[in-house]
Amino acid sequence: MMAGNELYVATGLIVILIGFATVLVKRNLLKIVIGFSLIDSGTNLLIVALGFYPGRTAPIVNNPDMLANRASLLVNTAKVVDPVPQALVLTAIVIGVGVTALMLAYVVRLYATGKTLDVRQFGRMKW
Amino acid sequence: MPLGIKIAWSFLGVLVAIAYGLVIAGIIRKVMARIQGRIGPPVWQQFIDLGKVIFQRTATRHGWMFYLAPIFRAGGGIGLYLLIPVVIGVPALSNFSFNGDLLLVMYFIFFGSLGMALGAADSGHPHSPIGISRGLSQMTAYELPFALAMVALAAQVHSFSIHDIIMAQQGGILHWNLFANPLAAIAAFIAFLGMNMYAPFNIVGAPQEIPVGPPTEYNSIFLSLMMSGRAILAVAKIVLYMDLFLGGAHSILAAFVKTIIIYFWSVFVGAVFPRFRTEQAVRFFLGWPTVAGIAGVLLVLIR
Amino acid sequence: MVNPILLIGVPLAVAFLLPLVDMLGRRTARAVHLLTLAFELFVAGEWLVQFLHGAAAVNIITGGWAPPIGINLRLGPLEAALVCLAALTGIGSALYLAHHEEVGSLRGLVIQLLLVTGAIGLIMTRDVFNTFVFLEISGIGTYSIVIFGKERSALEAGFKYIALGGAASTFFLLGVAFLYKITGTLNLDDMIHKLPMAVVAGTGTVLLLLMVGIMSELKLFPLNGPAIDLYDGVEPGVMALIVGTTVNALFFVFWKISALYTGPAWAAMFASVGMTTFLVCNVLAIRQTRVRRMLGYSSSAQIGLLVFLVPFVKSGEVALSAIALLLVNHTFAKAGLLWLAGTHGGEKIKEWKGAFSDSLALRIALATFVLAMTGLPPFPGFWGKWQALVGLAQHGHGWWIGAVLVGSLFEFVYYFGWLKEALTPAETVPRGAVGSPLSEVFGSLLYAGLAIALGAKVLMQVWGGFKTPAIFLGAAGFVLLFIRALPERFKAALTLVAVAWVAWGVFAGARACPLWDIRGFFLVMVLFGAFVISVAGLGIPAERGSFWGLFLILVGSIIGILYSSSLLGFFAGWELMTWSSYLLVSQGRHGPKAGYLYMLFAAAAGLLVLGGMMVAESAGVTTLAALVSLSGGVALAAWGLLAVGFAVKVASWGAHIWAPGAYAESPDLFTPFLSGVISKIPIFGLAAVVARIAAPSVATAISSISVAHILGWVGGLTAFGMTLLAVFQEDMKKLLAYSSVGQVGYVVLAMALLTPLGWTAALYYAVNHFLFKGLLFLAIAGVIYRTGVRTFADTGGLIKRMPLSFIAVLIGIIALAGVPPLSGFAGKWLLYEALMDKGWLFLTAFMMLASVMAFLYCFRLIHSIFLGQLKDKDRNVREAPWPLLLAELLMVIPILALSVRPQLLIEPLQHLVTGVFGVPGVRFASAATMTTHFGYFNAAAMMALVVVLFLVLLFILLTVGPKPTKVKQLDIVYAAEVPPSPEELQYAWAFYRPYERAFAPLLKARVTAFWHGVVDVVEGVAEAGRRFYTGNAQTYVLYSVLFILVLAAFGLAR
Repeated sequence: MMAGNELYVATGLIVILIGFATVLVKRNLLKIVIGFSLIDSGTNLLIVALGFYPGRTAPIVNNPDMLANRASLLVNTAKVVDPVPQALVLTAIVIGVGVTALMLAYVVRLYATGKTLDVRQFGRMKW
Repeated sequence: MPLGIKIAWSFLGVLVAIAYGLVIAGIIRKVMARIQGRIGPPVWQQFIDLGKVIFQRTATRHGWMFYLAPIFRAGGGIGLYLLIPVVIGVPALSNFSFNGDLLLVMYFIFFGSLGMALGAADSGHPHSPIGISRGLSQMTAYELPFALAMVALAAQVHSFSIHDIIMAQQGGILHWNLFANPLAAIAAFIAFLGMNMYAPFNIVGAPQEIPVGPPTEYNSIFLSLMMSGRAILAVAKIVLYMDLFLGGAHSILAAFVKTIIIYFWSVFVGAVFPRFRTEQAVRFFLGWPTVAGIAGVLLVLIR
Repeated sequence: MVNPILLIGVPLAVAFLLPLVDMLGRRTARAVHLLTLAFELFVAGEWLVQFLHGAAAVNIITGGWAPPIGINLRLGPLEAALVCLAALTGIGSALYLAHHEEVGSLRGLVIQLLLVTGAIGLIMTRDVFNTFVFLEISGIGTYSIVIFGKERSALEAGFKYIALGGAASTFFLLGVAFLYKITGTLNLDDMIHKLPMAVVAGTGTVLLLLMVGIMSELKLFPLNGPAIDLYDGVEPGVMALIVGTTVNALFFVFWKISALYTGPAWAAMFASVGMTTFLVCNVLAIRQTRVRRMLGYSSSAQIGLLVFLVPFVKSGEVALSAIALLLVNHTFAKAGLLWLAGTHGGEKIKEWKGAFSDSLALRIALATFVLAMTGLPPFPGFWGKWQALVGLAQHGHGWWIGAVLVGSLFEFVYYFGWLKEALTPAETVPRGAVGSPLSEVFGSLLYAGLAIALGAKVLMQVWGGFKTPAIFLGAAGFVLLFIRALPERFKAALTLVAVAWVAWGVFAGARACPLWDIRGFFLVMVLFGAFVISVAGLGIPAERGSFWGLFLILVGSIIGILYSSSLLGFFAGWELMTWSSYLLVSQGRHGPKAGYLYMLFAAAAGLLVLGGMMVAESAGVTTLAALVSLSGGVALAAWGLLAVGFAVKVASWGAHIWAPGAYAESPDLFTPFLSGVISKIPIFGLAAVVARIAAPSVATAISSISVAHILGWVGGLTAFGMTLLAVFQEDMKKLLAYSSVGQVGYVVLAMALLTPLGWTAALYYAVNHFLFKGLLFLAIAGVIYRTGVRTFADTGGLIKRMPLSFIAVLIGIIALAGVPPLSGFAGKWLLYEALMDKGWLFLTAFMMLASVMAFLYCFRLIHSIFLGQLKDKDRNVREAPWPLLLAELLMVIPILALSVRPQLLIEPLQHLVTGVFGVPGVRFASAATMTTHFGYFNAAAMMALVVVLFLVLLFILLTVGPKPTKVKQLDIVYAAEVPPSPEELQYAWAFYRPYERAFAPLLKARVTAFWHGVVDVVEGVAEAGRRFYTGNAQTYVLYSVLFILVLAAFGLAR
């Protein structure tokens, strides 16, 4: 790991672990969904942190200094953070929202059928 | 020897064998009676009985299988006799043994029994199948020691040919298989008791149980054929044993003496023992006689 | 050519536009949906044809950015084929789901397209992150289509699936992100190129995370809990769609990404996880009571097998076509079964009794899918499995082969358990398929047809074209299956013509077949047997419409075995014979249950034979002729496996428990063939396959003993044990069944002698048994046909009504018992002479005992049916139909001919054995006298003696004494009583009770108890094992975490 982003990486990992702990320990369906949201957020944070270089700015060209070569409009890569992880995270966030929404939809439907939010009540199909 | 003369000799031989069979059956009745303290019938009583059934004025029959069965029975006995050489060195009395070896003889024994069983069962009398069931059960049981003994002999001589087996026994009484392979002989002679169906193995026609057994419904000429068949079958078997264990015979007299001796073995045993139940008989044969047979085979293997 | 990008663009666009189209009406929307899928099929198909003609794979660059910066897609032959499969399955499911409202709605249509699109994207993309996106699209598609389900079970399954999917996609995404960090690229090809150069600590962990993400999506053990629930809970048409699209696509993703995983550790991990999945899921499936849940386990297992094969394909050890064939096979069969499950509607296996009894096409489809799933020929999976195993064998992976075979056996257990129910006639009105419209079952029929067509194509590459007898008969049988309108007797006549035509072709030399070598010998027997059965079929109509079609397929498969010179051709015919005879056995009244047991043992036998062949393949042997070259341990293993396989198939003692039921319960018309002909084919196997390998010896405590001697004792024990059991049977077909097994035991014993005389005995005995047992089963078929009963207690005295049948049985039992003068004696004679010649003395005596014991059941058979008292109910029974009597006559003539002149058979056999051993076994002292080292026999003279004696005695009987009066049935000497009814006079039940008492210690059902024990253990393991799937979403997520930790503990997280 490059120096400077340990804090963010560690935070991301911790959030992911908290999320997994929630998913594995909490019996309430809603809390489990929250756990998955934590996992998503932690993952996103972690990915962004992976592409982060201390002292660099966002990969958006808003002043000419950031261009390495005015003629060809190429970005000076030494001045910006890696843009790819950020693009990935954007997509991942969108997907995460979709999946969370679907999970919540399931919770609603499950509650309608079982009048309970206890995950243990939804294990009739087994073996 | 031309075939015609051979047939004539064989025909004569068959008649003599039947007569001999009837006589020894008569002797047995006499011996049994004396042992039991009775006077008993004369030795020729069997001839009288045979004449009686032949000349009965009426005869009844059931189905056609019932009708044909006595032919199988008599044919089986005669055929068996004809397959066994009686006196060695005399072509006239070697019969038709060129047809096949010991295996053929062993299997042809069943021919008559099978025929009789079918005919008797066709009569519809319940005693017939009961008797047959018992008889077959016992037959399979003594077959094991018998087969072991036969295998031992054949392995010893390296041939299934009866002639070869006789020839291997020449040159003195100790060359007889009776002494050359006593274990096989023990197995075979115990099996012989079962074959002859005297006590303790008289379970097929067991008196007081199923009075006559399979041939209950037979009468008249049918019964006469059955009796003749049975008589010659008995002779054929003792001749076979003589050939296999007592070195065969070089003369008619020797054959007569040796066969009588063999036959009386089963008579004397029969006189002193009560009857087995079927399952007891079966278990008996599969016990020590079989062990003796196995030992007999091992004896050959070790040599 | 159409731009492949449209393969993704068009369905995506249509999916979004579909709500607008729907305003024109639902029918229009459906039409557009189907058109879109047809477009996919057309485009991918067109490309596939190009690729098969050698065109190079195309790369599609998106957004004007070349990789590695931009995302690129690829369309090659594999991709095109997978897209075709996805589109086909999409069409089938769309048609099916149109009949199932809740998912056939507009939303359903959109999501169906979404699933197809997601799958095509997964197949084509070469970008790792893009893979993640399509993974999520597919996932969301699945989650949303499941949520339509009204039932709570579907919702529960969906929630578990989404929970595990959430965890899996996190692993995957983390893996992708770290990989990007390590390699600096997201393009797969670029990454494959760069990853080995990057030496970064933790790369293994990253790869592990990524792989667990994929394995979770692939539903491998132990991550498949929610997926199995999904199969169980979700509308099966949807699951079929998922199988044909997402599942295949995910496997392809695994295939692509596995390029990142180099080194033996990963290969071992893939193989282990795949094989564990294959074994565990197949074992657990046997305890399933619900059809679709069972299919779920099966799917996991199949994917496990594919994953297992991937490292071997990557290393070039296994051909890629093996995976391709297995995957296509799985898609056809699993999607087809799911559609059928939906159409039928029976959730529990027990509810499948009489399934589709009103629809021939659906029954054929169901059978096709089950056969395909279990890897039987001619379906694609068979060829795939063979290729895979050959590849494994040739590179020394014997233990893996063993694992594949064991897992496959369990597949037979549960699939045929299911088929057993479906073949069992329903007591009430059967469910399902009553008037199901063609469009609903279109997918099933299409896939069944494709599986058959593809399989037949490969089979014809192995066996030859339509002009070869095997293919001709098989094809004729297949056509005959579909002809329903004709009466059964007419179909029998058609069969007769087909068999006669082939026989004419073979024996007229048009299709050269050297007669009187071993295969010519068996060929005569098979064709003659088939001919006789067809003649009998003119008299007794077959009870099921598919009888004659299957019969022809069976005959064709046997001829295929005989004609094959390669191991593959032989084995294909072997397995074809197995299933066609299984289906025929199942046509009997209680056939399905007996047939199931038959199938299990036959399957085990088949797998053993396969194992033996693989041992041979491992030494580079691919043809039967080359087996000679085997030696040492390889020879021992091949010999042992093949011999045990064939021994199981002839129902040797210990593995005999399948035979009585199969023989007794199969249709009466089929039993003669089953006993007479099919039981001889393993003998052909022994002669043509096993005997080519020099029999090795194994060291025992005392001395080394030849394996052939062991086989001899197995045959001998079988002969004795089965004869003993036959004695006590109360059912005429069961009696003959045990007898058949016992008689084949003699043949096995004689084969094991491996001497010219032994083989003469074996082959003579085989023909003789074919003749007399065929005759007996035919005659018994006539009795059952006329009286309608099968137990001895219900018959008696039938000689008066059926005298010709009586004579047939009489000839049969005399030949069986080996009593001179009929042909059976020559068989016994040869056997004993051969045994003595070899020096197997104890076996000789043992067989003499067994032979005499056969008298007991012979008499039982003829007495209890024909002799004794005729029952009042049978007074009007008629003689068997004349075609049946004609068929019996066809068997009697050769028996009589062989009785007078056994040389007719023995002389040609001497040419045969001389060809094998170099010397003849039997010599001819004169024209009529046969001699061996031990003895001699003159059959003609013996027959003459018997005939003369018979005529002389008959003359005496006719002329001497009074003319006998015929008395009535009940006129018997009955202890001064009036005899009661015939029923009370007939001694027929427990006929040999004293004998039974004497043999009581031997008669304890130890073997049956042993197999029950085996079943109990396996079922116990499966029952305990399946509790692993607790049904709780959290447990499943926990498993995924633990799975990573376990794999990490194995050192994969470097």
